[in-house]
Amino acid sequence: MGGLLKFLRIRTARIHPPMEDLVGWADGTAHPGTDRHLERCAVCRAHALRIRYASQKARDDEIGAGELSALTIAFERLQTRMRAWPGTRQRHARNPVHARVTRTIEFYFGRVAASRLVNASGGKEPERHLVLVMKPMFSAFLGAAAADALVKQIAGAEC
Amino acid sequence: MRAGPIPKAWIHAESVPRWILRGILLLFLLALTSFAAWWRTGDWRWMRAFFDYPGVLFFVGCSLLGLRLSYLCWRQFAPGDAIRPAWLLIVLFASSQLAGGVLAHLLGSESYLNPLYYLPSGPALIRGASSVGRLFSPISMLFLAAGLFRVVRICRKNGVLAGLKTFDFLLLGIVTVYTTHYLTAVVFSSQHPEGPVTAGKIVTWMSDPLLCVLLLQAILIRRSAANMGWGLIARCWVAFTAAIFFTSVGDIGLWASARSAIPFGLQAASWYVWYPATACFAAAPAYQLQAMLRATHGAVYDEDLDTVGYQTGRGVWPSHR
Repeated sequence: MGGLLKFLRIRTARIHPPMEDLVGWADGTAHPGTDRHLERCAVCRAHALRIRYASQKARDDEIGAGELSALTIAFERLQTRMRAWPGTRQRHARNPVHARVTRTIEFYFGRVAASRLVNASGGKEPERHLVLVMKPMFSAFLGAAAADALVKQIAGAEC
Repeated sequence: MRAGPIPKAWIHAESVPRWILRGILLLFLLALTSFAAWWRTGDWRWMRAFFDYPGVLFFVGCSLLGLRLSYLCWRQFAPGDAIRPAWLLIVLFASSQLAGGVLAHLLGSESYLNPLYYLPSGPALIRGASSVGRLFSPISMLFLAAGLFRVVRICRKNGVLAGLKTFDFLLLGIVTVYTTHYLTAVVFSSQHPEGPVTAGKIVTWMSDPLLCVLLLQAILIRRSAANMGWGLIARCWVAFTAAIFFTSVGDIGLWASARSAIPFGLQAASWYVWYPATACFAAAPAYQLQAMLRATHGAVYDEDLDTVGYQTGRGVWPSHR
């Protein structure tokens, strides 16, 4: 029986909790199961700690402090909020300042992703900064060269 | 990658999904005609005429197109891009699919399109081509599963991977039950109903477990795409998901038909479900190519977006205006 429990523990450690649970853990509202998983799983623990770090940064609303670059922090902050966002199709009013970026995001990734971006940025980020923040996402799915071209086009259109 | 004049092949790639849709509509029209003729006359040659000629041409044509477009996508990524290995695996998948399609459907059928049909030793060669062609199905699935695994990892890394819902578990449960039943009834049975066990048979038995894995990956990617709101990149992965779903339906349909477990109408529908699956496999890299083309060559925002009709995909390129 003990062996079976040990086996199950090893097995269940490999079933990782969703990002929402990790965000919950970072905010201190985690399910006990998530705590147990994080005790055993180093990968998820690292993710959860990064989320907690990014959340704290978001709360402090300061960019540039610490060992991470400003863009990395901003991207993580957006990722954190995007992960925590419930998957609803609710529409959100758009900031007209971000229209070009959100339309590009909408075109490539979809309406919900664009809405999340606007909501996550809270209308505070300059448009060019938003594009740079989203560049890793474009790079992941379109490749670095296409992402560079896209950022240049948007920056060129802004000038 | 430099934003220069739009390559001609890419302009064609832009209209590929529409051509695939038109192609499949025409194919289904032909299918309906041949089915109606067979139903009315009872002459099976009507059905064979459809499956051996337009059916085979569509299948091989779509596989060829899918390979070409996947290769173009892969070539656009630079070494070091996270998704490049996934596209290499998709190229390998498309190559195996084409090889399997040519061997099993073109060279493995007794039709006038088959050059082996005119040879004196034709029947033996045709049987051999058909058997070898079937081996490519699990091989291609293996490549696709490996490629989609990398895509799922990229989705997770970028925080866009969604969780499974109740319906997903239900769908996966059905396919898993079918696979388990198939394995127990055929693979692990002491008396193999499909004759003696050969290496080729063992390879083909991998198809169903691989299909379960593919379906899980496809559902995860589809949920993630839906969670983002169906952009152009999402459409590429949703096309793969649809293709895998159609393949699963076709596979289950074949199994159920063999056991007369489903009514004739559903059996007949399962004969045709492979065509939309093939079409979706070809459309997926076309969407990716569209996304890369637009990123590299402009036409992404402001009035351009409205002009190209980004929501419907029915637009014109700036160079065409």
